Amino acid sequence: MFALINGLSAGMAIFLVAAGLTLMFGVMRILNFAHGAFFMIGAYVAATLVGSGPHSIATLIGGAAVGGAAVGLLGLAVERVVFRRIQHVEEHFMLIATFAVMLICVGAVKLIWGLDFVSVDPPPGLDGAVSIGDLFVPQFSLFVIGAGVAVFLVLELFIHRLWMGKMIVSITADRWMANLLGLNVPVAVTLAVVASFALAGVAGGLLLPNQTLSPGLGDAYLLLGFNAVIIGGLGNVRGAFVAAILLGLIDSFNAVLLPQAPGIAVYVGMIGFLLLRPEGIFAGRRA
Amino acid sequence: MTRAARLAVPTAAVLLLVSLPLWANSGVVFLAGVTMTSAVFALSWNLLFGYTGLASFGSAGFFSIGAYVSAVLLREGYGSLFLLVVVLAGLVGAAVSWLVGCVALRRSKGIHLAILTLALAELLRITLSHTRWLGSEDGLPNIPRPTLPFGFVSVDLAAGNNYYWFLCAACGVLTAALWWIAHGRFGRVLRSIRQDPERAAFIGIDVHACRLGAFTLSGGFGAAVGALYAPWSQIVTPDLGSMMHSTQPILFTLIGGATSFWGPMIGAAAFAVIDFGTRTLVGMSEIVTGSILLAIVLFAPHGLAGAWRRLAGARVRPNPNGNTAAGGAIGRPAMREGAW
Amino acid sequence: MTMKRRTVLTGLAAGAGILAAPGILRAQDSGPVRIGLITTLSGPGQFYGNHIQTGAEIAVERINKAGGVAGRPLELVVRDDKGNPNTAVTVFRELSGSGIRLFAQGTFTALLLATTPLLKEANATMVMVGPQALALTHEAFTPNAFRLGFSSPMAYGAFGALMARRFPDIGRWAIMMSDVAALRDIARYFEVGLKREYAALGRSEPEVMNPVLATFGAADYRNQISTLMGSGAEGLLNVLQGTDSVSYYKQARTFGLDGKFKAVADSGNELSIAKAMGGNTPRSIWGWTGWYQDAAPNPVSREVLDAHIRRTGDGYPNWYVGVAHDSIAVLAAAVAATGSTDSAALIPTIEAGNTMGCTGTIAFRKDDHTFVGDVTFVRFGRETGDPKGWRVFETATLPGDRFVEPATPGKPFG
Repeated sequence: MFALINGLSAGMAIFLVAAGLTLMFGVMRILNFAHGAFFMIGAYVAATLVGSGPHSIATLIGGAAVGGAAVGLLGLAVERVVFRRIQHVEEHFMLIATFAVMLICVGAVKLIWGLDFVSVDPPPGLDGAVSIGDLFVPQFSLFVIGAGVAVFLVLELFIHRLWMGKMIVSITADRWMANLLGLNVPVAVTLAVVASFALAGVAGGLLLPNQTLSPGLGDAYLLLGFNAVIIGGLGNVRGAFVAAILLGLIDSFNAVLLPQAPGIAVYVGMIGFLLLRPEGIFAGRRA
Repeated sequence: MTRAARLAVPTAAVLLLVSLPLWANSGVVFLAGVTMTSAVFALSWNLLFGYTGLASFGSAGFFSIGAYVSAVLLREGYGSLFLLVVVLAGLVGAAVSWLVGCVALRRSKGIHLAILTLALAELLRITLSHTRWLGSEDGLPNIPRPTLPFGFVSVDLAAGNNYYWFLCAACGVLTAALWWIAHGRFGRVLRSIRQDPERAAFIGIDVHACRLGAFTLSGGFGAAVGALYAPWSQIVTPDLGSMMHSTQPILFTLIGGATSFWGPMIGAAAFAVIDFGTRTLVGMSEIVTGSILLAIVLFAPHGLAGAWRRLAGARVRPNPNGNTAAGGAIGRPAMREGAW
Repeated sequence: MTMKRRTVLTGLAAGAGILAAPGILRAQDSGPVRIGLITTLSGPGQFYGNHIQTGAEIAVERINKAGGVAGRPLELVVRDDKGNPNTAVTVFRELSGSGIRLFAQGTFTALLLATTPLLKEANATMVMVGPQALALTHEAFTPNAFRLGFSSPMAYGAFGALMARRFPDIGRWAIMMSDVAALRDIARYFEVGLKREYAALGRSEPEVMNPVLATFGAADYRNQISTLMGSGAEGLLNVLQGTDSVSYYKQARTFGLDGKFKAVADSGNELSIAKAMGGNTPRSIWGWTGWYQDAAPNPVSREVLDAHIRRTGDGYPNWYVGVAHDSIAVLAAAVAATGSTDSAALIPTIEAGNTMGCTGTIAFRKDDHTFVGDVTFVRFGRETGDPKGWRVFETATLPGDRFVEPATPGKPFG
């Protein structure tokens, strides 16, 4: 039972990372290797602002927002300087660009923040636990679940209700046709890319109290985020949401049911999924 | 550019490589050996990518299969059969590759295939790092270099730079084999599949069988070069199968240029230079490596081979054959994707 | 045909050797005495590599200030191994090809396993900085390398014994560790040391539970923590490394780690935990360390600590700083004593040596060149009155010779 709650919480943490990743894939058709690095930069910026012991939940969320904004700006710069200039080149080449950006980000983080571990504690109100029956649930786990659902709902609203979002969806589906129909594709692409980066930064800020900051932070979530994006169907936010929860649960039950081999089930699950539902959970539908 | 000039560059490169131990520092020689194996490894990957249009993110898995097969057999004292060991490693790699391909290629393509192969390679890496008799995470060290019998005389590859020259020859043979496959009938069939699978199927090509064939060959060559690598490095670790190692041929190929047969080799050489150049840049190597990569992406968006061809092409225009120089450029003009 | 070709090749190689030889001789007979430092200065291992570089630089600075080695200055040639065995071999060959005969190398075991087989042929002498893996002085033993590190049985056998003495009433121990095979020795020898000491104290043997595993680099440990909390154990050995460990303590706090366990033993992170967690450091942690100045003060140790504070402002240097300093000091002292960089002269000198370093008098066992010395532990934890938010409460040292495994050079142990 605890594994269930924890799986949900871990899944939401994965979704926070995967959301931006899948958005980026939708419009740019690339798996952004640098996403983990931007997640890390968001976390470092937020940690610098809130210090090692944030005073309240609002401080933490505020720090995450500033982290997200900073990374969003950085994203704007990367889009202008790098992505836009090579968008007509073969898409595989974009992979190297994101890989190069990742290396530069990791190097820059080392220079700016150094190598020492940085730890931020949960603020008061999130540092304890609540008991539901005989179940012991850390408040921070509930916070992460809430944050994940909130981000998901905002994205849903944005994509399916707002005009701008619908435009991004149509670009995702068929960029050429969208252009032909007179949609302002470059602006929408820029917007989606900046949103994707900002989401990475926000995720970094929100998950601050969960783990420890070091220049290797990006890696821990990147692979899980990739997996969620793939299983969910590329560019599909709803799919990524469901897939992230599934992955969180799989890993969590792996730890409980097969403690001798932690982390194996995620890969086995991945392989199974890819073979059984290669087009993602919501095959044939894009959102 | 004249025919002589076109031959001059590869000839000079080969002479440079072969004569390296005579004048260069032994660290450079070692790095050159590693680079040769990774260049052939990248060529084997590009047989899949550049020719067939399939991207595997788990190619390092096959490399590590070959390296471990070779490491175990050499440590068990089968050194005199080393050539057989390499062939055997290649066959094991091809067999595993065929099995994976049978399942994977039917069900997935594009990015799904990439992630599927990545996940399989990760599983292999985790398994290797938990296998005690294969040395767990620390791998198998002290792999002896073999002695090869040739009739009455035997060549001790452990002595001096003998293994380096053997490596030159062996990598040359593998490269020649890959060149022959890529430029032969099979290569042409693969290219037609890459360009338009449906049309290829329509004109009677068994698309699945050909893709499976390319996947198997790629895995086999990857494993064979892994087998050559093991006694050169003299240590194999599970990290050989890691995601970082799988991204190497991808980077080499894209940096060098996927549409040229020699692109991956050029990319591997460029990376070796970057790697060696940043070994003293304490704390700066990531930024410098990243910046160089980014510069290549921005200013040579068809890889170094593409940039070179453009440069050479600009100089010789008009070109009567429609060839744009640099020996092995393939598949033109249909393979050209940009406007260069 | 083959014969002829081979002769030609050999001839060419020999010619190259002759051409290269005068350069080598010149390089080492005059000018500075050069030591090659190979360590990890990019990627995840850089956290340790930077400390090693700092310690080695402090050593060179101290030695040169005192007049150098046999009248010649000491020069450190630093190379980044990038955490990759191939790069380690490349830079080793590069340095040995340029005439360097003295090496200090350290972070990961696999990188040492890659370079140490090359030492003999290169007539080189190496001090391995800080490794714990048994293989290096057992099945992969080479006379040209000295381990200035604490073998797992010595460090963690002693740790188990210390815990048994301090907490003789604990009946059940739990272990939290990353799913990395190299860490299993830590848990194994801790258990050995623990059980032996209980027996020596005349207590009944405690139960040591199977390790609870997590993936290396994981982000979430709550399931594992929940298992540990429900295990009924009163003692906990934590074998997670680096950031994993800090994340784990942080997440465990919510579950009441402090109240649950009477004893928390940490295998290798020592004060880096407190430095990261500040005022939220757990109440009390015992940690193994390779060097802690106040545990066994000596003048060298003091000077190195002062030099570290001057450089970085940090008064609690990582243990690698001290051990890296000592590695350079050992090599320098041996060169000073023999006036040579030839391994045939240096090896017996280091074997017999008694260089004074941060870690006390540095002595290697002659049979397998493993370091045998005092094993140090620190107890630290949260302290609201302290501006840092934490402080070191006490230290303990145990003689390593009681715990070090028997020498079996060339053959695996255990």
